Amino acid sequence: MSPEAQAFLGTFVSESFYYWASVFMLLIHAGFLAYEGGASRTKNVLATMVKNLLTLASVGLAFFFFGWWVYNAFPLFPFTGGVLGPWTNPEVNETVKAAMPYVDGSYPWSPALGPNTGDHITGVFFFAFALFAMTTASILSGALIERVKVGAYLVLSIVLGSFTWVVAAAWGWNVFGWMFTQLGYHDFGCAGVVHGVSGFFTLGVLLNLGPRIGKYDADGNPRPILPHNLPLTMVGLMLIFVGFYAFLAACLIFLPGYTGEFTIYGTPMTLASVGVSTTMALAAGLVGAYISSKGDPFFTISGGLAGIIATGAGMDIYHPALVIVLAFIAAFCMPKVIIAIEKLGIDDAVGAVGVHGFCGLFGSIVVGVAAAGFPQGDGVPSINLFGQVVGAFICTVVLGFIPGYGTSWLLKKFDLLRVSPEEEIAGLDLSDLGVEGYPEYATMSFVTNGTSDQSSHSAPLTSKSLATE
Amino acid sequence: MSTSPFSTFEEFSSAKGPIYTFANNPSIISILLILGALIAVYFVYASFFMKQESPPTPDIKAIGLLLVAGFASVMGTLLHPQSEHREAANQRYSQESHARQNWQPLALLGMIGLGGASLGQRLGQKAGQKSVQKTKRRSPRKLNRLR
Repeated sequence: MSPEAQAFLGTFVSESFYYWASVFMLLIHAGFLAYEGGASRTKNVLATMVKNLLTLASVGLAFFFFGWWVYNAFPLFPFTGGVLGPWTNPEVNETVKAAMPYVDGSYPWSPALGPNTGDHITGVFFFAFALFAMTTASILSGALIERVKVGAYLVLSIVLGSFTWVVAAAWGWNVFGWMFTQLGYHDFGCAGVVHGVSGFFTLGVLLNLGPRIGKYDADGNPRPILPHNLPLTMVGLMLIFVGFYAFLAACLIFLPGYTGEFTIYGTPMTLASVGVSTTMALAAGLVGAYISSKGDPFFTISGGLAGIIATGAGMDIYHPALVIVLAFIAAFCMPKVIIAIEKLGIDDAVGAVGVHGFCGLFGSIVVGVAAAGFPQGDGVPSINLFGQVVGAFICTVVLGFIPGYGTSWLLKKFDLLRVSPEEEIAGLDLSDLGVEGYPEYATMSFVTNGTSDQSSHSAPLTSKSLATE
Repeated sequence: MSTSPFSTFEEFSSAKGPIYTFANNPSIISILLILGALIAVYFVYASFFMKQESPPTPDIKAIGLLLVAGFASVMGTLLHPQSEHREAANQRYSQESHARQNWQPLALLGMIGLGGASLGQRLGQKAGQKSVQKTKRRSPRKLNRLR
């Protein structure tokens, strides 16, 4: 093999690795679609799924138009430099000079994003980051089901998926990011940067959105609104698990010419250990939630995700035995957190604040203790508790809760946040989409049609004759 | 306390071997492994006794109230039948319109369902299933009689 062919093989391996990892990340969205659809009631199932599906469109387009640029432009702002863009002089200092090629490759009009035989990597990184962005917004989607306006959700998904989490990633999940270079913040699997931001953003939105009609009785006690299809919810979470293996694999950096595998911070790691640790986190998380909730199916399967999130931040350096203990603790606490949130009058339909917010916060802080002292580069502080706590606070409060609360407050002021009570009671499938999710089942119209006094319907109606509904 | 086996980045980045937490402290790893094994053993043990607490059985007053409410609902719809029912608005899925809409079957099903659910908890699942099947078979005839 010629040296040119060998060099291109290295490029092709990198390009293929991120391409296929991103394709598998789409399973997270298939999973969220099923998870939310199953968690909703029959009268809202289609609207819930369509809303989730539209995340791919709203965040996908917004991330192309500005989200990808935000990631590359904001790492230095506001403490170690300004926002980088066409106005920036690359000769200001060495850091800016090193960062500018990434900024130049992130504009929607950049040649790096189109077919370009000189750049096989920028586009595939865009693809992976766009999937990360959609995942972040999808976390919000499930909590708001059955009462949020589709337009309001799309606005919120763009703010979260294409701006606030991207700023968090630029600061804390980027080799130039000031949270990394100044505080030593370490978040390999995006516990704080993705899950913490989105979980607390969701909390802010839920405070303005309010609970579903009928969720609380006159005394304010919560009443269960059960998932209409728990098996579908469980299958959805299984798909999310598969997607998260790809998500964590895509956190690895392997570029043409590299002689090892690295984290986004430039520290060494191995893909094999991510496989071991993710599996242990999943297993221990399931056990923790199973024991804590006394076998509740919804909490138990959410425990697997809780375990992965809680250990993601340090998965590049944790020993699997440590992963088991940390995942168990976080998943054990998760059902208690969800129940406590419910008792506070916050109707989180899928437990997103508990699973993603709490476990993301736990995962990003615990690195400061469990992996304290790991060196991270010349001039960069070692992993430390202070850096992790400050980083986690910025992710969850500054870039999560406050933007979520503020954006939803504005939408609420203009009466754009929530559907009318009449629409909510009738169900969003009929109100928004004009079609029921299960026209052939024993739903309201089935019973009415099947028993109405019409000569043409004297024979029992078959599913075929009702299919046109 | 540092959990890192490395003191400098050069050492870390050029390492050929274990790079994980407590790699220089096998006793901590042993303790964590024992803890993990205990969790696994307890999980299997607990799974034999894991049971969700069943909701408290409704008392006779509650069941009576439910039946009265269901009966009142049927009487209400007989005296003031509702004529409005929201149809699927989507043209692709819309069905032929019905001249007359009737909520009686729903009310009846609701009443039977309420009673059946309460009784089912007391009489067992098998009896409850039979009751539902019976209801399904009878409801159209009953409704015609009511009209």
